[in-house]
Amino acid sequence: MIPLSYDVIVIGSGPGGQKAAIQAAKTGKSVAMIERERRIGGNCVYQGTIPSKTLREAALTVVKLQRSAKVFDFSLPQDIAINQLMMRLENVLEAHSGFLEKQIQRNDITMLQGRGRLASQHSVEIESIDGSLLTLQADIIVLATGSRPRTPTDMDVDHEHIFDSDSILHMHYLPESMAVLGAGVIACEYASVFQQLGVKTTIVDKSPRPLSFLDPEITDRFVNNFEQAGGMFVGDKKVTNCEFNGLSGVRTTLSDGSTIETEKVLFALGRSANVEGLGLEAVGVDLGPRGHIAVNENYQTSVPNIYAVGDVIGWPSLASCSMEQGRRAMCHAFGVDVGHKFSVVPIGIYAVPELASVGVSMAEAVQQYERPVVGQAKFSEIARGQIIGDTNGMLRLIVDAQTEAVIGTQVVGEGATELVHLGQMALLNRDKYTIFLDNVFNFPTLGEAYRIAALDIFNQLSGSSE
Amino acid sequence: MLEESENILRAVRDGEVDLPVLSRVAQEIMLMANAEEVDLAKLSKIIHEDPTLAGHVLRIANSAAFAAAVKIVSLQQAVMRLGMNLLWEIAVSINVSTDSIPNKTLMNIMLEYRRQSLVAALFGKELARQKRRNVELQFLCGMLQSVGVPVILKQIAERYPGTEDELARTIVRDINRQVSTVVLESWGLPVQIVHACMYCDAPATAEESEDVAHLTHIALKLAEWIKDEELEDIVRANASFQHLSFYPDEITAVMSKKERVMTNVGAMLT
Repeated sequence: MIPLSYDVIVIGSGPGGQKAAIQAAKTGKSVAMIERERRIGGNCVYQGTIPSKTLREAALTVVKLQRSAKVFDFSLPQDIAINQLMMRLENVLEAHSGFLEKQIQRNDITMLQGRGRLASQHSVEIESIDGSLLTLQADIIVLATGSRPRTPTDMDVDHEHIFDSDSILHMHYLPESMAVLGAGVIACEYASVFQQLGVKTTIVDKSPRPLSFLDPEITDRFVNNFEQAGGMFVGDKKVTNCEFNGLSGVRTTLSDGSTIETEKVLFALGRSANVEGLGLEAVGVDLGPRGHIAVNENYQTSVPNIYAVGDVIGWPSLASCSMEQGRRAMCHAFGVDVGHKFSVVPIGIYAVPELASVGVSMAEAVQQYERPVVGQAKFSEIARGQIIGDTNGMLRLIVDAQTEAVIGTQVVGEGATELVHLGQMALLNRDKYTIFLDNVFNFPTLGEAYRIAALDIFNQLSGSSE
Repeated sequence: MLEESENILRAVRDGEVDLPVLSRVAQEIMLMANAEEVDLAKLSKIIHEDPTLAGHVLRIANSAAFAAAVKIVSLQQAVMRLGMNLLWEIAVSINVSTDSIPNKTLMNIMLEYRRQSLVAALFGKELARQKRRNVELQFLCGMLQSVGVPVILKQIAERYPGTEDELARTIVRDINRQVSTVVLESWGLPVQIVHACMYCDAPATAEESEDVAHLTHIALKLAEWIKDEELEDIVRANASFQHLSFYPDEITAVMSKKERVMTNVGAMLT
């Protein structure tokens, strides 16, 4: 018989829920965590981050072999099954979920499978998989129910011809062609990976360029790379209809009347918060304008003992942030010092090529600073870039010319999601860009790009043209 | 296992029995389904060459399931209406042919299995859709898990003429999965389909493709429920539903597709 009363109940076992539960347990509190699925980890583990990155690794292997075409006579078989490309996935999932389960057990957290719903400000009703109901009490409740793919209401996602970002990896074989509708992070990640695996891929979006929160110099490189691999980006077009053509594939109709015929379609229009069935209204938990749960800076909802973290509260919807939100929410609840407020969040886009950003873009800098300046380093100018064959990569360092402080970094190319952390540290320490000139980096490394970008800035500020 | 069952299974495994081949039409349709551009005229010609398939295609295209407002008289129209995937499904289902089943008792068993397979295939699609899994794969798993039944029945007729209905059914139950697995492996079908067939009676024992085996298992249970509605509570309590985290309302949602499934079964069966 499990206890019916806890200090903390967490609904959802994704990255945010896990870290909230562990932080609360480490503070000596009794914790129950409720998960609707059989295994813990949430969408991130089973539908999202981990499976998609496993497929991406296959795409990267293809890229590497193709770069070495003179050495390896390589071509991908046309009828290759997706699960063959993701052979390691089961092992990865097993290892990861095993690790998570041990961590939960080690911290003496009670795990329950079921669907949780707020019955009152201090109680949660759990519908177990057999339909039976159980009510638990808690002083603190954390909502970490995550999100699901957002799909249009007027077009049918049948998971057979037209997929969303959860079902796409259940395709059996790689299709000949695919239209990816949307140009955000998920869309660009999948589009570039499938294109690299030989699927003729078209990205369609209403915006003129993908990943519009990045500077055009960076996204242009992504588009160039994508189109060089055989893909196509169609911007400034709305999708007015998308349906199975009854024969060989899907017909997507655009706002200008043109159509795109592809074997499969992926809707990648962002994600919606999983708030249905949580009983929020009855308890008085407010939603924000976009349907996410509204929270304050401490992740408290409009009902102070109920916290919400992760995708269910909206932007930035990154696993890395969700974890930190979970930890901070529980630190706040139990009066533990959380350290510095985290205002600098790096964004990593696991496309091919990789993209990453931290701080402001140049477009934002122009609006926020009197005299921003940007320094660029092309990987083609760096020995390491030449060695690894990534001559398309680029790093941009953005600096406030008045204070010389680093205010943003954007990177496209191999290792971008790692490389961006150097810029993040400079931002956090309010370092001047000259820190990259006054110190020695390993040679040959991609880190050298910081030095070259800093030199570019130095030259601009000193009027030199070297 | 019965001695008769053991003898037939041994003969199948030792290669002493002619296994059915995936029909040329099914193979060609599958190839065309994967081609970048489909040549409708060529496709119609292929179907024309197989009178059984052509008859099926026209009849299904004109059935209530496809809400034909205008009578479809040409195969090209029918192909447009049904879609490539359904054509492939029809071709596969016909491949599980009733030819060479020599007597009525055995023919009845064959037809029951064929119907059960089709129901399981169509419920498999609904289950997969509900859980955002591979819809096409699940259709094939349901359709093909008993693909060895005609082989077994033919062997019963040849080796043990005059076998009573009950004994014949026991033999089929004994070795259906093993024989079907041998047939699927001989066709070189994807490993998930082979595993779904091997493990659909005991999916928890599957070392690979466990979820596909569980979905196929449920699809077969739903096919049993179609035959006997009193089984509803037992089917709902099936452990595979729990394994796949189907909640009661999600099970109800799948079961509510019964009418659609049966309409399509009616349209696709002779």
